Amino acid sequence: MKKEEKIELIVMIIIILISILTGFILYKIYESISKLEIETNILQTELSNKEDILNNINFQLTTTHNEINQLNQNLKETINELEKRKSGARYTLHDPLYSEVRNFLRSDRTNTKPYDDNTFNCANYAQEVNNNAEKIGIRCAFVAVNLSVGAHALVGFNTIDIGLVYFEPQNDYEVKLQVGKEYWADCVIPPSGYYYKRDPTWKIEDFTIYW
Amino acid sequence: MRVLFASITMDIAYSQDKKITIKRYPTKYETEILKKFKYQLVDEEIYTSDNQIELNMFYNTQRKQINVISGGLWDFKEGGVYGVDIDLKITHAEKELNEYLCGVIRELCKKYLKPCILYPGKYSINCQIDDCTLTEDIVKKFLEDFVTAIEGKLSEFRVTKKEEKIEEKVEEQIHKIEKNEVCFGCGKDLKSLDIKHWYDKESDKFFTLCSDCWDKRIKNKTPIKKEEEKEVYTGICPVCHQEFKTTAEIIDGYYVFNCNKCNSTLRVKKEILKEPEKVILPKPVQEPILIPRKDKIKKERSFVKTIAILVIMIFLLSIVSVGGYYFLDKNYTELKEEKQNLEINLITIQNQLENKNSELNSSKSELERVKNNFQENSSELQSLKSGDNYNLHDPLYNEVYQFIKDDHSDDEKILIKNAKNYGIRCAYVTVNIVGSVIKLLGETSSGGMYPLVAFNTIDKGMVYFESNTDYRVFPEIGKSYLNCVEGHPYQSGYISLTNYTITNIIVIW
Repeated sequence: MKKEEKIELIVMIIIILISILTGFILYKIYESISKLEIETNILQTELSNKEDILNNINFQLTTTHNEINQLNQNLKETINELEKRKSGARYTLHDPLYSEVRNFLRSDRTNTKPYDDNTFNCANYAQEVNNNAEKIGIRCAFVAVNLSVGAHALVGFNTIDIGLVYFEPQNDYEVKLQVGKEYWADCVIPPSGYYYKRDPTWKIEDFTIYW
Repeated sequence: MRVLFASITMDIAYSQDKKITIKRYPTKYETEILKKFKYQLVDEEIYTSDNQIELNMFYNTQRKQINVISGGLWDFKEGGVYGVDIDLKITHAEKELNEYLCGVIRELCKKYLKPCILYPGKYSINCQIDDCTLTEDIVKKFLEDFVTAIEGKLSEFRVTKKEEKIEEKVEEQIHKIEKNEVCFGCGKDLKSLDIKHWYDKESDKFFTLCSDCWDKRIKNKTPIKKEEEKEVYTGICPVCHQEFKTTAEIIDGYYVFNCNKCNSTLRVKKEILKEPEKVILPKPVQEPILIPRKDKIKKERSFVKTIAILVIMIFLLSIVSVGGYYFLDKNYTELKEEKQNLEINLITIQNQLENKNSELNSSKSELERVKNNFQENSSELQSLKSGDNYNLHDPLYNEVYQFIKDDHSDDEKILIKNAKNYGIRCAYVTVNIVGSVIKLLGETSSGGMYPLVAFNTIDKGMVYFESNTDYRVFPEIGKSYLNCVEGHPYQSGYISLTNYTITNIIVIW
């Protein structure tokens, strides 16, 4: 083999070796890039998923915060209202026994007050007895009676044992209210041996019970 | 079949005074024909031709026997002639002369025969005319015009024969030099070595070189020997006992030289050697022409070409590789950066996610706690709000306002009953009024007991309402009732006849 041919052969071999080496290196780099691309894609997908989850959590968090704020506001209002209501008075009433009514009326001193048509009339008597009864938990009604001339006021109790009973607050006499009858002469029951004079102006036309 | 019909040769000589002599003679077969023309042989003149142009005309037949008529004439008419070939030979060709001859032949063919196809070469021109016949007159006129054209212009194409001379000399000297045995550069025996020849243009001499000296010469482009003269000694080598030729140098009175046979370095006295024969070497030239042998030139060119191609291939491969590497590396770097960014983002988002998740969980716990608290308070509030006729409570003003707004009963008795059903403590109020009013529409209303409903609110104290109109009333003893109603709705609709004054307010719970 001649010198030129040897040189040519060596150069050819060098070229082939360089080509193979270069190809191998480029292939390796390409392989690395492909691998890297796959990894990057996986990371991107994972990142996207995490971002979605984060957004969802953020949304939930915002909603929860809003809900908490709203509830806190409501709670504050409720507590305020509660505090106010707690400071307010509460009343528990009951329908009494007839004897209980009698005892109450005996102990109540409203009937001893003097009558004044302008300052302390029948309505004032009825009001005071009614309010005193409810103060000690006895449910009491204000009864407004329309007469043929004017009006009158008394009190009523819905007793457990006898039922609805009426009393004249000015003297604590029991009253059997009946429309068309004269109030004093026919309806008020005085102590035995006493009676009231008849007066057609006191004829009961109707009556209203305010509990 | 190709048959020679006519031929003419022109010998051209240049005299000392630059005059041109042209001798024309026909070749042996066509002598008789050409004798009829004006071109006669001039045998008496003796001269040396400087150039020669020979023209031969041939018939191309269809392989049919052509009858030969006596006297060397051919019978054209009976032969199946289908074409004519004209061959022109030039002994010493030059480019301009050849081009001129081509032009002449082309014009004459067009004039006397038919348009032709020309095949010009360096020393010959071939002309082919298809489907063409000849007559004696045509041939005569053709040759006459051809000779006239050559004679008229030939002085312009004085052939220098320089190139031919050089080539001939090269061939001749190569032939001679190949017989030599010693390299002119280093004195080595060349029988077994690769021989190259160096032609010195200035001295017009050839020298034989071995390939090493040749390579040095090519690389350095300097003369191999700068001495103008060298003495070449011959003698018998004491080592190999063969006669050698060498140039020698005198060192300390001794001649030191190398035997070109055994390559031994010898140191001898001058007496041992024969008388040197002086060889005059050419002067060193600035840029000598180096002419390798033709086949070696071809090989070297081919080798150089191959190496050049390979180098270009390496270069291209390098460019492609570097480009590819750069591209891939850029991609790789970008992807790596992207990946790192993504990883950082992922970690950040993961941390955020954990924080937010923890925050969400604590928020949910907080929400649950607040809900429970709210529930407890709401229940308690509900229990405080709730009630019936037997369990009553003093309401808030808002509660009262809402109740009055929602309740549509006009009768105070029903309104009170409804309020107590909800557990709201409500009072029946009678307002004693003295005096009278008249409505604008004419109805008169006199004083007496006027019914209201009242609530002892927690936040605003006692509040009064008219059950049938839902007007809020602020009753005060001694004040006109019309002025105590919120917004004074009655002031425009009623005319107070007397004071219509509140004298007493009775609140019955």
